[in-house]
Amino acid sequence: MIRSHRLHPTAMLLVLTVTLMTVALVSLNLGSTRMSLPQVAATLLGQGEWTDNLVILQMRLPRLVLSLLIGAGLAVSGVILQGITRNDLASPDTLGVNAGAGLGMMFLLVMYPTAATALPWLLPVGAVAGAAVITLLVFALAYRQGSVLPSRLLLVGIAVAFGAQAAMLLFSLRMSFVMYNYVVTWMSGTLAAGDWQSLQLLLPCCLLLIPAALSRARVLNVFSLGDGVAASLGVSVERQRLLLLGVATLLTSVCVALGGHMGFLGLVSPHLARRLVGGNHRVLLPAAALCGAILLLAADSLGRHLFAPVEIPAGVLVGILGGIYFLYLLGTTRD
Amino acid sequence: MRSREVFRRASAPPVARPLAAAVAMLGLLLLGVAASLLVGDVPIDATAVLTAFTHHDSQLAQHVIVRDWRLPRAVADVLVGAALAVAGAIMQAVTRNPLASPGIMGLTTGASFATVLAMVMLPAAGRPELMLVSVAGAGLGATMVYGLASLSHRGLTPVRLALTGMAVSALLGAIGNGVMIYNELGQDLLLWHARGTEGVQWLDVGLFLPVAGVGLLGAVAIAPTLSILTLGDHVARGLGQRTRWAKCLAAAIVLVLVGGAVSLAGPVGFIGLMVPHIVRYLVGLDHRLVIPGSALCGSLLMLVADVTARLATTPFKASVPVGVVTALLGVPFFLYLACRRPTTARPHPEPVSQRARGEAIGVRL
Repeated sequence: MIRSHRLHPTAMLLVLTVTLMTVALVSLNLGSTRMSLPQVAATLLGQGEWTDNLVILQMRLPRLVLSLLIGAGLAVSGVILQGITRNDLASPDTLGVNAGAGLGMMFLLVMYPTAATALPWLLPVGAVAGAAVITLLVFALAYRQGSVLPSRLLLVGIAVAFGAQAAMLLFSLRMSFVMYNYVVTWMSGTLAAGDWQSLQLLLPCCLLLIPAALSRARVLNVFSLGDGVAASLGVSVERQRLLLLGVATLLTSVCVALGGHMGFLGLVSPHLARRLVGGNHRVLLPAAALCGAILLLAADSLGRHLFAPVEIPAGVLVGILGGIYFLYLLGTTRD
Repeated sequence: MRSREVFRRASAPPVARPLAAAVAMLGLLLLGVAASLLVGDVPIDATAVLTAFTHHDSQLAQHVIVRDWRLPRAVADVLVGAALAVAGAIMQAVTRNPLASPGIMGLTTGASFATVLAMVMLPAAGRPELMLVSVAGAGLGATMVYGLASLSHRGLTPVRLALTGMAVSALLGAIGNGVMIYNELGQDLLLWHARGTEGVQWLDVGLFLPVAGVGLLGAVAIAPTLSILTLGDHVARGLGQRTRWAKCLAAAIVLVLVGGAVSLAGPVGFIGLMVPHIVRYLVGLDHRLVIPGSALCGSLLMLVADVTARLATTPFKASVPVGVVTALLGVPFFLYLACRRPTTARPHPEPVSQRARGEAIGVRL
């Protein structure tokens, strides 16, 4: 589907980058403390006043970087999952990765109620472990006679997510009121707790995994032709699929561990990017990452601003918008 | 693969001894009610339970517990189980889709979403109003899922139905979460979601009883029509069935049953999915038997799940929601249904020729 009015992919990437920077500047500016643009610029360059430094560098900037990385990470893993299952409806949500991360974290909190305060890094690790276990389970159940059928993968993912939700209900009844509120706020996808410390885990993971995904863009392109063609073109199908799946799972679970459930972000951004730059994964992957970052940043800024002083979590806004878009996709795509 | 077996089962008389089967099921149900009266936090032995009915003494705590707490809970379990299972049977017959059920098709999510919204917006609303809201919410969820899932080119495949149900649930869940966080409500709503039939009073049961009665009787009344609808729209119309009218009636019955059940017991999953499959396996495809069979089987399953949840409370040191027990059974069942065939795009609940289906329900094609 080549359209004449579509921009050249490189130009489109440039447009997306400029949009992202604009949204980021506006986001730095929004909040209870208003600042002029020169003030923001001066603070970023190290020339700000003490209060400006505190607000921008300690509060708004880490949150901004966090939402950029989480948005990009979820979008990239969405592209990978849609590529290896060859199904437009695959995403971290439909494969149960989110539910697994939530379950892992809740399990830790119930077993070691002091973990949240004593060992802050333990919770993300628990979430990653839970997500990995659930994903393995989903793929093991969907694996039949040497191949993973996309439609079965989706159904199994939904079933396993149902089971994980029931287990979470069980755990949540054993929690104290404070801890339950903490978990609910985390699950609905808030970036309010973002600080430099949480970036210490996310930044290296994203810097490692997103380039790893980008380097497999050609493999993903070949995958879209079908397993048989991919094998005859010299791709070791099962091994590459496993590798890419590992990258996607790790990326998603780290993002979910730090940001919570960003409903449908991993599904919507790849679709948006595909409409903008087409199906070549070499441009699709960076474009999707940019789209995801823009969406999450915009949702977070809006959620902070719309009903201030009450903050609507970014995950709720993204979930509502993404859900509507997902339903629109379901109505229009063939499976 | 299995079509020959299904053909044989479908063309044989559906049940050899329906009367004996019904008596056996009723006996099991009575056993379940008895177990439900005996099990709980307060140890009460069988003689005390009996004397609570024969020589009631309102001063004795044990008698009050049995008559005013455990008995209404058991009755509520029976009614809710029957309502959800029958609703599932009707939905699977009308949509001719093996995964159709109140949970998958967004009815329970819609109903609980609407109830949560009503509890926030109209704090003064009484129980009858909440039940009405719950029915309306079930209608909203069902309309969204069914309408969106049937928009596609290839119709209502199981994958599409499940995906749409998940998306609608996530969407309503996100909005509900937003409302909840905005109004700073936390565990109140969690407890409402998880309570099951715990703490149900005679007043609540009395409110649901006429609703469930009308719904279940209506389901029995349209059972022959449901059998014909499972043959597909063309055949049903050819046999003189006014399909649109019949489907509207079926939808109304389903909404009343599910909305009422959710407002009484919160969202309890998988009963409406599992029970009709088990019952169809046992009695065949004639819905004059499937509907009452589903009611009995659903009641029994709900009772057993509730008693199990109560028994599990002690080892778990926290109350176990009945929905967790049904999910424990239901998730593997869902997996079995989803994985049993390599292609899931088959609209029929069972791969069986229309002629065999027709014979099974007494229609000569």
